[in-house]
Amino acid sequence: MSNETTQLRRLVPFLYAAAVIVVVWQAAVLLTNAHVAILPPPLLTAETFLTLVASGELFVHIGASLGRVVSAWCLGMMVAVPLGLAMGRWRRMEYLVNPFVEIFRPISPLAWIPLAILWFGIGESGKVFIIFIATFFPILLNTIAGVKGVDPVLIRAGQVLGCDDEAALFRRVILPAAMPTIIVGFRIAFGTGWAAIIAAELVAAQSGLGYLIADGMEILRSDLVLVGMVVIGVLGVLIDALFQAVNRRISW
Amino acid sequence: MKKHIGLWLLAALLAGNLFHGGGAAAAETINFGVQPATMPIYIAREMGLLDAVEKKHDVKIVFRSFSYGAPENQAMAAGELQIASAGMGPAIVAAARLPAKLLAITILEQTAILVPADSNVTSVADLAGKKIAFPGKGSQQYPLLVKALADAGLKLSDIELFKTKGSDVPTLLANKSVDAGITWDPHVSNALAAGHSKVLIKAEKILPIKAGHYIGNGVYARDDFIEARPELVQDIMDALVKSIDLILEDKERAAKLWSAQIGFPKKVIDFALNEGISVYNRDIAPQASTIEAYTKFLKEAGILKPEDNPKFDASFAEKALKQ
Repeated sequence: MSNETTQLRRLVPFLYAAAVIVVVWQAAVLLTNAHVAILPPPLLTAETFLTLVASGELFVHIGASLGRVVSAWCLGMMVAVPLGLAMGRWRRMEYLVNPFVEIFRPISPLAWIPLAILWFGIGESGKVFIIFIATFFPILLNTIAGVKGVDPVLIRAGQVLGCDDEAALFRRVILPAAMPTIIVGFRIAFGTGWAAIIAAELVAAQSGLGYLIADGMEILRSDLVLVGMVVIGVLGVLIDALFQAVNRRISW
Repeated sequence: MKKHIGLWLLAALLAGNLFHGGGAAAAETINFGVQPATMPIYIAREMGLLDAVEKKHDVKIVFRSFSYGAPENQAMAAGELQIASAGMGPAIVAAARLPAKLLAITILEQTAILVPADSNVTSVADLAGKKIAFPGKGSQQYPLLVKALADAGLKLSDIELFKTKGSDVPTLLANKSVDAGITWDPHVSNALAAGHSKVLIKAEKILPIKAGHYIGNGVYARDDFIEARPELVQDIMDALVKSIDLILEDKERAAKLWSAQIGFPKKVIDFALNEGISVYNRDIAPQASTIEAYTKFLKEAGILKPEDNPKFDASFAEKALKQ
């Protein structure tokens, strides 16, 4: 099967889902006779989308949101991967750190907003912090699982065959073996970080897709709200597809 | 025998409940959107005017309080509010975007940009690079701020905006968390009366739109409510005019009644009335020229789209003024 055919086959379910959503949406508008402020029709939303594209405003919002998520995600990786490797490898480390993880993990990023404002002010740091909370735990837990999932035979073999210290063992055996699971954590973390955009951009944002949605709500522009939601959804799918493509290409 | 008595008692209980339920229909609830501000509708409540309206029309007028106009409009859009009092910005947005009409302009002025009392900011132009608290894009304070900045040659990108509740602006100014804030009364009077803030510029200096005044607050209602209950709407307008008459004739009593309703200290409300932060005028009827000018203002601020046309009906207010 050719490359193009494979790619098309992957696209078909999404096109089908989009078509069903639009049909159901239009049917809901017609059947309920909903006022445009409550549920704008797909065509009006599409017009608003095109207006935002033509003015360039949409790309400003997309850029702002992506920038925040990528920054928070990178920060999440930098903190969660080393911590996860240590917790996965050494039981004592896990014993000491795990209670804190279990206490803080259930707390929604939304709940951190008031503290984010107090600690970081209303600049970008506060928003990145909210998204960091959303990305940190998936990466940490997957890293721990990845390390624990490494076949003990591989570790013994590494120790026998030249890995004289822990650093070498990590570098040459544990990390490569754990990487597929860690990569899954990265992928999940980006998704949760992307979903946290709405919460993050409630912190005095002046741009971003979450800001576009909040802004639309303020002035009864449900079309702006829907454009924001659709773009968040579509970009989420595209980013996840990118992760999957990268994962398929790299052999561990 | 005991079993039969029990069954008869149960049947009697059920029958009684049904009879009672069928005989006395519950009064219709009219949800009136309000904010904790010196709105005349609170005076109407305290004077007992709304009790008379409720009895006449067999309704229960319930106040639903919101922190600012945007969620109030969302509630009206969802059909949860039949009538509302809010800042003129949200009132006009509702009249433009919802099946609703503006019925009355009930408060003048009411908004000001404040700075800390010891601030070296002496003009709007000095706000460049400063952090300014505002209550959100759905409030009327946002377009007023945009206009004030534009008149001073500044853009929004020249300042740092911080969204907060209108009631939190005095606290943020007092603890110097922001360099300036725009909010409405009685939060303006709260900050001024406490002595930690001063006025940089008042709304009527930014946008004098009705005989030198800024139109601060409006009452608006859903079309389906107006159509179904025109006499009730008229009686509410009558009550509003009577409330404003009391405010104009007896500020002292009005301040006491407001304090009881909205929980603000009387001295703050006295300050608002005596210093002209909130101004009242019997002529609550919305005029076409005023609405047109305000609509243009909101379109220039990007709040309304070029094709938005707010609807208004001055007939209820005009009839109320004749009483």
